[in-house]
Amino acid sequence: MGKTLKKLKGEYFPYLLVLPEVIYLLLIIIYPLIFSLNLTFYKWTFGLPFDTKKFVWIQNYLELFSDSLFWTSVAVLLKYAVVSITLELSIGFGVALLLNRELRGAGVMKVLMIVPLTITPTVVGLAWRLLYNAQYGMINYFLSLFDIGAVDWLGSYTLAFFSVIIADVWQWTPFMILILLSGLQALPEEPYDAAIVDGASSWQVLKYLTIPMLVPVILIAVLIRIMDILRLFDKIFVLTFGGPGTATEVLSLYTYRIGFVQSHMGKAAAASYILLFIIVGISFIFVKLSYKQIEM
Amino acid sequence: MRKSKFMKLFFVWIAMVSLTLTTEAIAKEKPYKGVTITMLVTGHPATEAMKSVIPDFEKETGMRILLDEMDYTRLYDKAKMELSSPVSAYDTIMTDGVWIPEWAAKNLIVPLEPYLKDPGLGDPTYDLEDVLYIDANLTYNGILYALSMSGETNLLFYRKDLFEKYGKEVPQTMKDLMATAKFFHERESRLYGISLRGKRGPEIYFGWAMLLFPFGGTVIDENNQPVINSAEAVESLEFYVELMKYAPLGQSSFSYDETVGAFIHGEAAMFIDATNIAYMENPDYSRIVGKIGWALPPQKEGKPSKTEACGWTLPIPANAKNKKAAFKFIQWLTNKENDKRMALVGGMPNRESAFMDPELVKKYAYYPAVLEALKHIDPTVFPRLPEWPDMQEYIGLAASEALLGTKSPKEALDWAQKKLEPILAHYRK
Repeated sequence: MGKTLKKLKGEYFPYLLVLPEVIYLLLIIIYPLIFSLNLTFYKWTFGLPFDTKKFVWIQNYLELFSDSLFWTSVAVLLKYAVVSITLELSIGFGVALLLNRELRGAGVMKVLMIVPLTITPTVVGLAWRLLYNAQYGMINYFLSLFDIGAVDWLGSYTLAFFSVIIADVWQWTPFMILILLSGLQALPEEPYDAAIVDGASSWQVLKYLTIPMLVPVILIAVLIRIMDILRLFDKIFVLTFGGPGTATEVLSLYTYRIGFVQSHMGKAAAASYILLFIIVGISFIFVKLSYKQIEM
Repeated sequence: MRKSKFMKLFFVWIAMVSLTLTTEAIAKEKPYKGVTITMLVTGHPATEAMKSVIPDFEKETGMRILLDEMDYTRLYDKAKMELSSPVSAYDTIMTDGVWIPEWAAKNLIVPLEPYLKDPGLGDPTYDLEDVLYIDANLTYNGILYALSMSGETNLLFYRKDLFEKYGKEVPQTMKDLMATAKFFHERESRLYGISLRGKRGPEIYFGWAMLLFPFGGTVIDENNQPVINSAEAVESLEFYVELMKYAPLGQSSFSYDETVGAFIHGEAAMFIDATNIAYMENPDYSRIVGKIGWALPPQKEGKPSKTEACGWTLPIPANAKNKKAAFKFIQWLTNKENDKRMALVGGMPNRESAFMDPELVKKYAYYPAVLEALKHIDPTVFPRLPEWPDMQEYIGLAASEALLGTKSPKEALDWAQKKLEPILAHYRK
């Protein structure tokens, strides 16, 4: 008896300790993942009893791949991710460099920058919808003070896409700034001292010291943003509902329509899985890249 | 001393007996005392009107009404999730009438006829025949699934002051409508010809449907097959796109809020939409109080007038906990007396008797016009099919693309027709 207890303590005790966590993971993450993966092979109408579902092999995927709207939504999503992350990174990096200097009021600025991050995306969407309103929105009002005619922010095909991006950049650039700033402040000082002794210009310091040393942090910041932006939903839902036309129809919105409005749950699950593969694929590339950087 | 103690005991006994008797009486009169009815609602003048009468119901029955208020855009999927779960958190749901067929066909909500006929529950004075909107909003395959909370139809609204100033006649035909919209559009700065909904999805369909049906088009034929690319439909969409040139900038992203906003802020001379007039005449929101005129929407030359009926309804989920108590509440809320009471505080009535009520007609001069519009209802404007939400996605996208100009109206509607055909294929005989 004593021996078994000892053995239990010695060999199995660690497993016992992680058991609650494993059960939690199984229930909350693994089970839904398997459940929805299974669902992608079925036709099930949302609202009907679950046992009315029908096994259809990979028909859901085939239907998605032959739907031009699906490809439009994937293209819009990728375009959206590239443009907004590029903007967020470049603006964020610039502001982070500024704040990294001895600057009066930097503390207050950092606190203020957290504010957009804490607002729910739906509320951000509603606020920007009012700002963008072509008739009585604040933005057009201020433009009119400079004799600039009213701009149709959300109603025109090309502008609507950028209007959504501006709202996203407004909310998420501070995130880039904060991460890059903490990266900048963690950089060692010796190389800079050496560079000054060698008479390097500030441009050379930035190009040959700061950016190369900061690359791992940049990669991580971009990675987090990519994972977040690819499942973007609420802001667009409130701002444009995917319109006008398909100008702002991203994959998650397309999935929502298929599943919740049009009731094709199996097809929606398949679309979610494709989104998951896109996210995992891109993340994989970035993780690989950042490991390479660290090894260097 | 002794006597007083005896008296005290006697009084206590009397008190206890009377208490038991009253609680028994209450139990008989108030069978649902202590029951809480949870209701999912969205912000609407009818919701506000409802809030003003609910305390009376709580006092009368001893029940509690709990309102869970939610943004309109999230209401449909939230409700659908609740309806598909084992037990619904809500005993009744404020439901857009166009969702009733889908939920009824999936057995997510229950027929109300048995409750209405239940001798212990049904109100014999309810008078269902007095209720308007039944075919258009409350039934599926002829079976009653909901009671009407706030019914609406559509009218042409116009600025009386502007029409007088420029000596214009109220447009009666579509040709006049276009000419009048153009006329006002070119007259004053910051004044547009007409305000119509244009946001992708259900909103743009609503805006366009105001024209589609008068033009003689429909969504489905009598065999439930799509006819969305008929010549009439294409003509009406071309007309809509043309008419929207005289609408406020940004109209292709406007939902109801912004569309009515443009009109009540004085930026549009005309407005065709739901008869939510108490809101438009409310000085808290509107800058054109007292300047609003109304008329039957214009006709297409040589074709009959057509209006739509839509509105908020109250069904009972099949998985609700307190179905009978919930029915008692919605029956009370929509009875003759409360229909009038809610109309007096800004709600839209659902009964013919309310539209004829002298006190109400005196207060709301537009009631006869609404009643007239109700005579021209086409209940298929929002087809009573379970597939409608599915279909509407494609129609809404096609119309939006036509409005943007990325597709011609004909191309867009041909595309929608192709998308609708498989959805409705199972009705084909």
